[in-house]
Amino acid sequence: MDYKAFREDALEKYASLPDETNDLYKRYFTEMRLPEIPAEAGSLKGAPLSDSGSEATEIPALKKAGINFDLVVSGSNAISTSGSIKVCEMESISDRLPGKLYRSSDNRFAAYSNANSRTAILVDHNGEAPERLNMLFIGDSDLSFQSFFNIGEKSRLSVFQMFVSTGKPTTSMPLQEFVLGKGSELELTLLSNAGSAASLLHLSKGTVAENGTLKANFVYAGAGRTKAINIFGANGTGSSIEVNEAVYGSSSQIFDINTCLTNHTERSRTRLSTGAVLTDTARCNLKGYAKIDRYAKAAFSNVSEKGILLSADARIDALPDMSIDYSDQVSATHSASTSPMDKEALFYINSRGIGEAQAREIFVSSFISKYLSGISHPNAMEISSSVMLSRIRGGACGMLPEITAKDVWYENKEKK
Amino acid sequence: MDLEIKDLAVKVNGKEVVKGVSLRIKPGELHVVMGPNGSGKTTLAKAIMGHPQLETASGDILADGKSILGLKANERAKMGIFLQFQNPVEIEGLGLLNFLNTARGAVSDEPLQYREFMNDIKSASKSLALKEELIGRSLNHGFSGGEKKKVEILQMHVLKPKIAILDEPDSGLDIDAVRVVAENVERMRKEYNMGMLVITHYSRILEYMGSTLLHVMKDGRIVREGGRELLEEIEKAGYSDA
Repeated sequence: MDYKAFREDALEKYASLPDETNDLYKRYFTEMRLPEIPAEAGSLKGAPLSDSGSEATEIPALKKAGINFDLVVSGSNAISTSGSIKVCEMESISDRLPGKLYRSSDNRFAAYSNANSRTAILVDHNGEAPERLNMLFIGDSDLSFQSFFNIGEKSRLSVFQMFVSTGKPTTSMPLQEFVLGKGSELELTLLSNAGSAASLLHLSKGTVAENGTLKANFVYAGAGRTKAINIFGANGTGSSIEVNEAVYGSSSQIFDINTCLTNHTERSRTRLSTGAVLTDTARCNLKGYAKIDRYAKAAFSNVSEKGILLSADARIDALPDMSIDYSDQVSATHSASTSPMDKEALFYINSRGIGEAQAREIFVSSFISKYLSGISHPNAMEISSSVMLSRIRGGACGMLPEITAKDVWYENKEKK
Repeated sequence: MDLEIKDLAVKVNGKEVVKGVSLRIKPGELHVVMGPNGSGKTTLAKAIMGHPQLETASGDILADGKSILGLKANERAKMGIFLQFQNPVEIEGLGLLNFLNTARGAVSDEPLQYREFMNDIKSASKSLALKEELIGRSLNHGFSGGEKKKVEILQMHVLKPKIAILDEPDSGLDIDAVRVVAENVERMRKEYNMGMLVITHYSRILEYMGSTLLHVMKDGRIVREGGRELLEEIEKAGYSDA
């Protein structure tokens, strides 16, 4: 499908499915298949480790790297080996927050998730001792689930989530909610590296209380079609939100990344930095939106979207947008740029004896690394970097495509 | 390496900018090209390095008697040709140290232990009065003009070329930095018997360097050649009579 046809198709679908609320973004809409989730297949059942631990084997590459997963979700199984993570039926925790922060009225995808998710993954983290969690989601069937992260006052948590798939045409629909208490810190790194037949619908919403810090690193390398709607609010005085997004797309991958950051209070800081590299006929809509509310005195907000096109048929629509309701001592800036590879930079690298192919690789990986540099979680950095480098070198998306639930290696902490 | 430029004409976007330049640089020789802005000096330098956007209209470039016109920039670098850029590019995200190591590996087959490599870089940085913290940062990103020029010379130290073309190594440098850069360049020229072509607008840098063969370039051509006496003449009268 050429770009004109693609746009017309998108507009036609948009006309019947008016999801976008931003006038600018209405013109850059990407449809997402929303499968019907069979009651049984869509229901994750938290299984005690002792029930299924014996089925777990090893992924040599991950074991070699010394990477454990505290939560593995695959099909109808969710295996948690961490006391901080609870897997339960949505109905049993109706008094908790999942589905309440990201409301059905926000968009039809949230409504769909709230109607179809039967499983909740709860992470309650309290205490100043920092904790790291690794989570692996294997899309071997259509999957809709919700997760809720409650970070207590002055608590520090770092979470790495990796999405892979088995090559089936599945859709993974994680809806995530984050509530950060006063002075707390959460670093979330999400790596999407599902196979090209898979789709990812990523919905996340979070609020940050006074002097809290949320750092979100979204690495979109896989899935044939990705749609993300991320909504974060700096709700408390002096709170801070930093979102880094790295996108690498090839063949006919489509990305529609919509991230909205809002400064609600005084001295709040928000920053969105997105870098996308596309080749072949890949396409990407970057919709970074920042809003500064009334009374957000001395707020800071910055939206930056940069792209590199490696082929004539790839396309990036970078659409940074801002709405400022308060202007006293406010700093608000946005920028966007998209260009082909810098030929002078390539000549410079070549002039140091480095061949053309390696020079391109160096240039692109340097560009991408800017958006990964904020990751402080060692496993998240290691895997995200290696996946991106593999993609840049021409590797297909979908790391470990032969992966199955039985191949997952993890350490049984409880049995130690 | 004996580098010979024979009646070279170079086009930029279809327009001839270098119009028949001939020059021969033998091992250990120091040649200087001076001339007014827009006379084709940088284009000549880039043509020698093999810039892909430049079109060689006529003439040849010979390295030890063999034409290198068909070689790409990286192949010329491997042969031992080095270009110090007038405006070095900034590449955020590319660690300088990583880049130096990759470049060294690309031009040299000699294995070098990491510790040995690091010690060499630190020593060369100190000699160039380059802040050590810079080697841990992205290539030229946020560097001052002077720091960029010194990093170029640091790369030259790592690559140890046979022929070095320095395009305005002194522009943007303070008086002390000019001396530091010149002394380092001169030491390398002598130590490695390096042929050198320096493009400059100022005579100060040449005060710290050895005997000089000066070429004055105007409108794409070399119009005069000489030694120190020509330099003094240009200092007094400019290029109008050259």
